[in-house]
Amino acid sequence: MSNKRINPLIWDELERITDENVREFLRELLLFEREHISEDRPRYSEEYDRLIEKYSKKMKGETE
Amino acid sequence: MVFSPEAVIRVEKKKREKEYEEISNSPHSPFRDMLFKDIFLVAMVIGYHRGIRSPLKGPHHDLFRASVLNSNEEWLIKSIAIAEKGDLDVLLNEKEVLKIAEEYANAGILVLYDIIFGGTPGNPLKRIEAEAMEVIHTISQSEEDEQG
Amino acid sequence: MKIFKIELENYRQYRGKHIIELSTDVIRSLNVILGPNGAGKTNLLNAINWCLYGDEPSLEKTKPELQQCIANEKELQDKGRVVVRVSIWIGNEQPDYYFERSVCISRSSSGAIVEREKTWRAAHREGKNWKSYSGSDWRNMTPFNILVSHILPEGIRDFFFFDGERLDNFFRTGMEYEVKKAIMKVCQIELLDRCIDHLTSKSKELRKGIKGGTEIERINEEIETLTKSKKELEEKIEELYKRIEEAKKNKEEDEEKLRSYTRYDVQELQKERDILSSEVDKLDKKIEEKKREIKRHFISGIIYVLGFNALRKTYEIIDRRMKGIDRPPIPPDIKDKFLKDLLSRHRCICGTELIEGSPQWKAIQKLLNDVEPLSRISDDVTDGYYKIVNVLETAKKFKTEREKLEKEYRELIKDREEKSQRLKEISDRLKGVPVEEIQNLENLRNSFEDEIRKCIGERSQKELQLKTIEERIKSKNKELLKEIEKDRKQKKLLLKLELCSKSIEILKSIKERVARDVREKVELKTKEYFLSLHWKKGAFKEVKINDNYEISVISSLGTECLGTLSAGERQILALSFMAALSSVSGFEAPVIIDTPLGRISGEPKEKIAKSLPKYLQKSQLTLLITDQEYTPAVRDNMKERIGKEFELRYNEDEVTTEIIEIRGG
Repeated sequence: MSNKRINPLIWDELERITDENVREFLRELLLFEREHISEDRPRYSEEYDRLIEKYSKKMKGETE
Repeated sequence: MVFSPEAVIRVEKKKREKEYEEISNSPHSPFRDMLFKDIFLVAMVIGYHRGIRSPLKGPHHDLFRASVLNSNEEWLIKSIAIAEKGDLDVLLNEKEVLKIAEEYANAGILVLYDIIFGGTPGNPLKRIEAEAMEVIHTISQSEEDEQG
Repeated sequence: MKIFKIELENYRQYRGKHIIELSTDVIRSLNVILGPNGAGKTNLLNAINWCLYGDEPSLEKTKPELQQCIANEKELQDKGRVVVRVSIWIGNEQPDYYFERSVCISRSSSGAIVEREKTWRAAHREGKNWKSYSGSDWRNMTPFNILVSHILPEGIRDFFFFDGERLDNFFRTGMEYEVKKAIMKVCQIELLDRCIDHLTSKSKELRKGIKGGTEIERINEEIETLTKSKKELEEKIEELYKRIEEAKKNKEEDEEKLRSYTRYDVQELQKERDILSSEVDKLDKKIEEKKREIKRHFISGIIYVLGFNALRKTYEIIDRRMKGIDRPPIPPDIKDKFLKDLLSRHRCICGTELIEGSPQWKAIQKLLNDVEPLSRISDDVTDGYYKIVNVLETAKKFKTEREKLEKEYRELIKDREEKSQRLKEISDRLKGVPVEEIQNLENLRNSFEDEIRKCIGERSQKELQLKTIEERIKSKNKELLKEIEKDRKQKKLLLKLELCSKSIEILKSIKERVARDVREKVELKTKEYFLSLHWKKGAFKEVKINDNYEISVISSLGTECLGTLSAGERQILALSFMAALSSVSGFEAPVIIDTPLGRISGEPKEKIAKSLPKYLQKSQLTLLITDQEYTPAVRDNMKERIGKEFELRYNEDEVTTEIIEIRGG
């Protein structure tokens, strides 16, 4: 996953999250936000619902 | 090993609500408006200095994130764990390092509370300082002995 | 990223089509665009901003007759209808992005300017092909804006495209707010804030979906109530900020009237009060800072004194491992990577084949098992060793330092009391002046001062209450999750809520650390550049940006001197700060500076000319510079880095500027 446009300091901090599920979840969220940073009020609800659904299933050992 | 972003320092919920709350908010407390982090560290070293440690009981409360510690403070916590275990291997287990710190603070906070609100006359900071002076005196003595 | 080409068509004084092809060489990455005031340098920067962001931030520096209309006046006069267009090509090794904005301008019969056909185009390279977008409405430019933000988000463009002369203001008023804003923008804290806000909204939505159990509903209601109280408190705090600003403004107005009153004694008293008030303000800050310093010193000192034995013991353990007295040594004498390579290649260093499961294989595996964990902590332990040495020394000096600080505190308090007493006397004397207007003004002024004091007190209280409520909300959320856990049907919802709340906490944690790291890095770089650029060697020893984003410049004598820097020194500080921001930001966007050396005279100009391109060497740097700034000595100092030089020649009669490439290419 490309991280070219997110500040490397933030990216490095993400790398240090030991919970892999949360780490991937936050990576996808941040990349989404980065793509829409130029919009004042981006439409985030659908994407957030999708990612929360995807990654909450993976919590506590459940799989998609 | 720098503490991971999700690492948190925990205390017993009832101590958060009583001892930490009062030490931080009471107008009579010399630690008024200090960060919980700083109060925790003082409690931790008092516990260590007196050699008292007690496991956390009952519901816990996340007092602060480990990420707010500066590097010297991080190393103080690690040193206590290393001194406790006598070995560097403890650094491989972040949970263990934090647990040792939390348990010393768990005991030390009661001592600190007593120093501040216990009713003994005099300035609480001076009393804490007096305990610290014992340590400094002992160190100076042993350095003089080494040189002499 | 570099700007390869800019094309201007009928933009302000640039009549017809004009092309600038900038140098994109890696070493000779400096472009100089030379021109006297009014020639069009600032409008070149305005053109770039207009193309990419739709605005012209430096318009007030343009000649008034050119400001009225974005289209070239002469062309409009002659042809009645003009297309204004600015196009930019940006990329790394080659142009990878293209941006174009255009508008058709005409004059109506009444003489009014009419803008029509507002179009835009954007394209970016994908492999060998270009992917293009276009539109005819500037209100709907999403693909364009997304591509621009890949290169340079609008939030941080001020740190890459800026006016050297206006930088001076940056460090004058409302500084901490601007510095904090700048640092937050550079670290893209906005990204984290958006995530936190959106996750918080989603949590709220999810909580609404919770059904069942009176207990759950009760806690939900409590959270709603607390959230409402929190919002009210925040609004109240905001209102108090405004009231304080208003009262300060009113107080200042009254003092201004006293300052300019026709009676000499009133003027003098107010003048004295101005000086004393300013000194008392500084003293208040110093006293608060001293109090914090004493507390910080106590806490930070005491914890290392009481923890001394643990630190000492740790030091000894690490020392013995670093000297190899105890095994295994730190750092390990064999690198884990080396052992992993041997195993993956199935060949020992002596050339023998390593068969999986063989005694030799197992021996290396065991060595790896011993060494690998150590490698993980080795760097940290080495770093910790030196930190512990410093901390132990600090602990030993605790007592003497504490006594020194307390003495300094007592002296500050005494000074403040004396000055406050004098201020009271001044107020009494003004009230005693036998002129009703003066008495009224003084009473009114005092009432505003009381209002300020009262509001500040109330605000502190409310901020404390806000902190308490936030803690309670956090605690209630935890309680809620526990209740939901009891209801198995809500398990799925529980997992989602847990994911959101855990993520929010982690994001906040990341935000704290990143902001602190960036602030520290910007502080270090600003200091490095400032001390190196300043012409008085040894005059300053420190530049600091504290936790509250207040910048201080410390002289070699240890005094705070930000307020007494000259305009030129402030400009150097500002340039250093900007260079630090752009170097820390992680963005490799082109840097364009208008009038970089405006307020600096003589020898320092040459120094800056030599150093600035060096500090920004990773970036393409374009300087829009006047001939007064661009002396032969300045040019000489920059020549190693200059890729191209251009001259702007303004024709007063034709009201148009030509762009001539004079050197380079």
